[in-house]
Amino acid sequence: MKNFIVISGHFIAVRVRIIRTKILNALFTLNLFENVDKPNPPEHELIAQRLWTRVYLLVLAILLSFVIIFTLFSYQPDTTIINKPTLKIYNDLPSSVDCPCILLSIPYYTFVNINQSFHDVCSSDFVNQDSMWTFMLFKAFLNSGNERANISSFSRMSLLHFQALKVLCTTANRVVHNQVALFLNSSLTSARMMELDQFQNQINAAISNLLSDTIPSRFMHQLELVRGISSRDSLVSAFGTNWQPLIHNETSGSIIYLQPQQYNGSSCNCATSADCMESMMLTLKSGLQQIVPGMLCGCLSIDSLLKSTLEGVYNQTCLDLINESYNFSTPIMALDANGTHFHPINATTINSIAAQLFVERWSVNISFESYFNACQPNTCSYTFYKRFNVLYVVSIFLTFYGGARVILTIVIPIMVPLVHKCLRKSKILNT
Amino acid sequence: MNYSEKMRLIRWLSQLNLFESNAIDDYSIKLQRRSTRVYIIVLLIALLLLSIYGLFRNETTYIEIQNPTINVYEQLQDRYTLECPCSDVSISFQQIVGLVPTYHEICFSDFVTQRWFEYLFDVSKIASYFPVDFRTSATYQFQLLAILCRLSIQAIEDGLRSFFDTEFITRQLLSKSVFSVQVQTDIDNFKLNAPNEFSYSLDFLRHFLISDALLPATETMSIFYLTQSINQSWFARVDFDGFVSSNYICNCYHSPMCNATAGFFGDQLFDKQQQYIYLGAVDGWVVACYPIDGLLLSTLKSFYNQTELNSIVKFFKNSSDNFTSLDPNKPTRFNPHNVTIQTIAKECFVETWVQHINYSSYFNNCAPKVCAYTVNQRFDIFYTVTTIFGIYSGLTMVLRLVIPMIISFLFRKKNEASNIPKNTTNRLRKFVDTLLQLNLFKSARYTTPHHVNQQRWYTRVYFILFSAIVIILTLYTAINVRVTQIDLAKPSLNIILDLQKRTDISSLQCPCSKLSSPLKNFVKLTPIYHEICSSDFITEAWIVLLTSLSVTDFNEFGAFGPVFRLLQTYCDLAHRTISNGLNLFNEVQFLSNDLLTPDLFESHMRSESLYFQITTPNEFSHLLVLMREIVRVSQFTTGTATNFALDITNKSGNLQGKFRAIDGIANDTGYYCSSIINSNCKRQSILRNLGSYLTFNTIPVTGFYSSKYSSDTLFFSDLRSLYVQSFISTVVIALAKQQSVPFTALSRPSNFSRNTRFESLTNNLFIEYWIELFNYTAYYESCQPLSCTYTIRERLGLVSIIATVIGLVGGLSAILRLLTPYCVDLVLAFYRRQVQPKASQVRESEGKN
Repeated sequence: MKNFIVISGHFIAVRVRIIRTKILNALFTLNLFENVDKPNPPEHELIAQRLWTRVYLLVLAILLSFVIIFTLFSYQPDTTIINKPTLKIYNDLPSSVDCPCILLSIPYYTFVNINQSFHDVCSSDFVNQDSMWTFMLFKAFLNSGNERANISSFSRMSLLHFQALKVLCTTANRVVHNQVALFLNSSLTSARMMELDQFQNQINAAISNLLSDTIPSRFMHQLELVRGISSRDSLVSAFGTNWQPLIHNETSGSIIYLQPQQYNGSSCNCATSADCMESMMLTLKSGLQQIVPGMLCGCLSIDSLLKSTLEGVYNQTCLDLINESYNFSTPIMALDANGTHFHPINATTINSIAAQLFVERWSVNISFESYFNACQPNTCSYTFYKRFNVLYVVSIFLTFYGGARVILTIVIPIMVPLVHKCLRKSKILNT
Repeated sequence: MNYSEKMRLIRWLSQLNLFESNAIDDYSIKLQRRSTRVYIIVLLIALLLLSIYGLFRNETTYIEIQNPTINVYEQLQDRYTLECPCSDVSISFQQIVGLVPTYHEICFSDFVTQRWFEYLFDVSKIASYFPVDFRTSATYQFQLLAILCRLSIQAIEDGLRSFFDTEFITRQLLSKSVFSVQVQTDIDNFKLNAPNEFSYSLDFLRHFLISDALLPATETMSIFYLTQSINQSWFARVDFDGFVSSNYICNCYHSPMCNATAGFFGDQLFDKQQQYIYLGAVDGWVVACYPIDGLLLSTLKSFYNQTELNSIVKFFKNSSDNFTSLDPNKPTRFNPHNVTIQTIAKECFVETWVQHINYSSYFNNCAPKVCAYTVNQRFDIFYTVTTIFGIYSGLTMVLRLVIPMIISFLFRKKNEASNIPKNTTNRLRKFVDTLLQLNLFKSARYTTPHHVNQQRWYTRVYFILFSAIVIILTLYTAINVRVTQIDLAKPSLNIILDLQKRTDISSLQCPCSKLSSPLKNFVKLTPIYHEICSSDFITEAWIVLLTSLSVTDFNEFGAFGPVFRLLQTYCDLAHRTISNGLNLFNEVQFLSNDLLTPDLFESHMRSESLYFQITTPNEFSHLLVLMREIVRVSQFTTGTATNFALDITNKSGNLQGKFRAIDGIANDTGYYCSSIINSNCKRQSILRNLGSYLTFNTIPVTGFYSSKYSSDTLFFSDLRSLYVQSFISTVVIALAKQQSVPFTALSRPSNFSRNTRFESLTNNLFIEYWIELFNYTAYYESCQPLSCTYTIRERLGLVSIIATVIGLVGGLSAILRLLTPYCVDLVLAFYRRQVQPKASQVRESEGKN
């Protein structure tokens, strides 16, 4: 067995040696420059041809390896086109994919849905026109008369207070619905399908800007403008809350002078300040006066309302006192403090609630799928710039090799003797 | 080069033989030399043509730069179109724009402080000044000024905040110039929009106050007089004031925009010529029916001069107080001498904008990880060389084979034509012979018949493989669709339109040289209004006709004058809203990086225009609703005194006046409706008509409902009656005191039905429809594309196919020539190994036999 191995090892060594000599021989005698039509050339031609062959192979190898490296490492575009992609296909595509939308502008309502819930007070009996509460307040208002003394009494002012609240609720509601509808009807302009992150960033930015900035600041700005102009243009309220007639000269034809109403003792008057106000006073059954928590009255009910808080409507004890002093047949119930996020209740002014348009919660739904369906890309394409493209390398290699081969076969037989001559010349010169 | 060298070259050229062979007879050598010359000439010509083709063929090269810095980017940007995808696509304007307004100094002066307001008003005062006296309205006017300042600044700051919050979205890094243009456009839009809306709202409110003749407490518009009736009871009477300006006495009830220069007065107002006797005039300051209207017409002239200010101040109670005048040396763009406060308020009191666009911050935020550009090279050395090499090798291969054949055929023909009979079968046989004997693997060393035979087999296999591959290659290149990018310089509109229609090209992009241009350049919107706004019903004559003095009930049609005046105002407001909105809309910069196609352009314009049409009336209606509601809930007193009473009571010997709200209306069913809690209180309007026998009969006016405020009355009512000519005639007969001009009823067809309430007409700004004109040619002109690029998916042309195939053929044949002999040998060896044992078996069996 061992013998056999030795023998076979020996055999292989011999074979290798034979093959080696064969290869060396083949290399030595390799002649790519032989003239097929001129067999058995003279010896010096044969030697020259063999030399050319070696130079030729060397140069070719250098050139070709250069070409291969160059082509292997150069970037080549590779464009893929997908027709009528579905969302599922789209999601698997690389982020550089380019999908032109059929519609340049897509209305927001096709993929955004905005809902909101309003403050409890806006849907409560406190502002409901047909509620028992409003009816009772109205009755109290009619019975209170127009005496100057009771300008801050609950019975005279509470109706105006809650009506102003109702105005704010309804206008805020209207503004919200209207502005949201306007936004939803406006269009997102995108010539190309946006990728998910960009889509979410952009839409979220637009919506949060709209909801927390544009709509509230517009509403408050308009409200302040209307309030400011109407109160500072000294418009006279028929309720006598800001101006009172003063008869100085009791003769026929004399002027009745309009005197500004004063609040807080006489520290504040409606001519020089719109913010004069004092606490609303409730006359109890016992005839005692009690402050109604959070409720203020002043030159104009809308102005004093905004400075008030909603403390009263959350305070059952207070409401009970009111029920009791007016003998309300159906006692009104306080609102649940857990139903609102505007806390603390006794410190949050109605102005700051209005600044959020009485909205408790926004719920925003954005659907990328609907956006995709509205965009309806007909085709998507992406281009990769790839290295190591075998097809490209082979085709360039073949082209180059073919040319180089022919050129070298012509150039080398000319160049080699020339170089040889030059070398010899310089050698002679040197010696 | 001397003579002998020249001769040598010529000799060398004439003896040049690339087709040397064993045949050394003169004739063969002559043939070979001829072949050589033809070969060289044809090769040179073909090579020249192909090189030119190769050199001018476009080829795109793609270059990528990792983590580019801003400097690298800017250098490259000058030369190439770079594509650098942002790692963060959205950047808030806050980070890239600094925009700080400075405001007019009045907003920070003594004149908007509470101390000044209180100084101007004497609480203890129990007498009135004349309406034209500065002291009558001053405190209100300055408080209003303070509100205008505050709200203007707030509007600007709110606008700025929301502008800063806006995300600037870019998928690709923008170059500095494009970025600047785009951001500047946004900034300009903002600067234009922010003040405009505010000043418009203000105008709107002022008109609203006037329309209902709401009474201000200042005694500039109206004065209450104490009056005693015949039966000794006291009551209050309201009279309207007026002003004298340029010899014209006007009354606030009829012309609410009355005004005069303010001043200080003693006991006497007029001289004998009915001219004001000023104790001192406040130069540039104006008083009007409403404090706000006077304020807006005023200039700040007097408040820039300390001595003038002191002389004003001394007319008030305790002149010890110190107020500092405005600084006349402070630079302002509003000339204090002739610029009214209205003009300043229109600009939201903004003096200057300090602006700063931060490109490097944008660059850092975008943070491109990689920038890439394609170079559209004509002279790509590498590519050209390989192409020429390839083509050269292919050509030599083909020509070397073909040319000797042709030459020998041409010359042999002469000599041998007579010997062999012309015969198709002969020729065919000869051709087949040539084919069979063809040897491309001739070797100088292996010339034995066995070798020659082997070489012939190599040749055949080589030919079969070669032609198979060439055919496949040709088919492949012919069928293969290639995406080529094509540049087109200075494209005309027609060329672009043609390109857009073609379906075989894609990604047509024509970058605009002007990125943004205002919409007015290519969009024209024209509103068509409802005929009511051009009808007889908003003329003075009609309003005067309906201002009947003998009215006893608030719901009489004879008292509808103010309602139609309000309608007139709303028509005017609607026009102004629209023209205001259109001005803004026209100035909106439309941005497009690339020229849009007509379809896209039109759909884009349509949505822009539709959005404008929806939003414009909307802005108007919000303010209207808010104002109406606040007026209702505050029950402001009206000039017509329909919603209040001033009760005079005798309280312990002294007369006392008290306001009483008359909020209720007994509506048609007799049910009491209070407008404090109900915003829909109304009653059917009636026309009191003088019937026969001097009795009055009342007829209901279809579609008209009355309420306490003219604005409510108008909004509850509809158009029905105004379409009935006979009704109009009845009105004229009932109310006209003398011969009146004829009034024509409405008649034109309309998109609004006849029972459309004025409310919805107003909310729609009386617009029937819009005429939209979109001009694509104008859009093209403002975009000014300098070039278009598109990619075309096409099959290669014949020349390209040939060039490609020939290019590959050379290398292919070389490789095949190298490989074929080995392949054939290998196959043969394998075949032999399979066959030999059998052959030896056969031989053995033969031996046995």
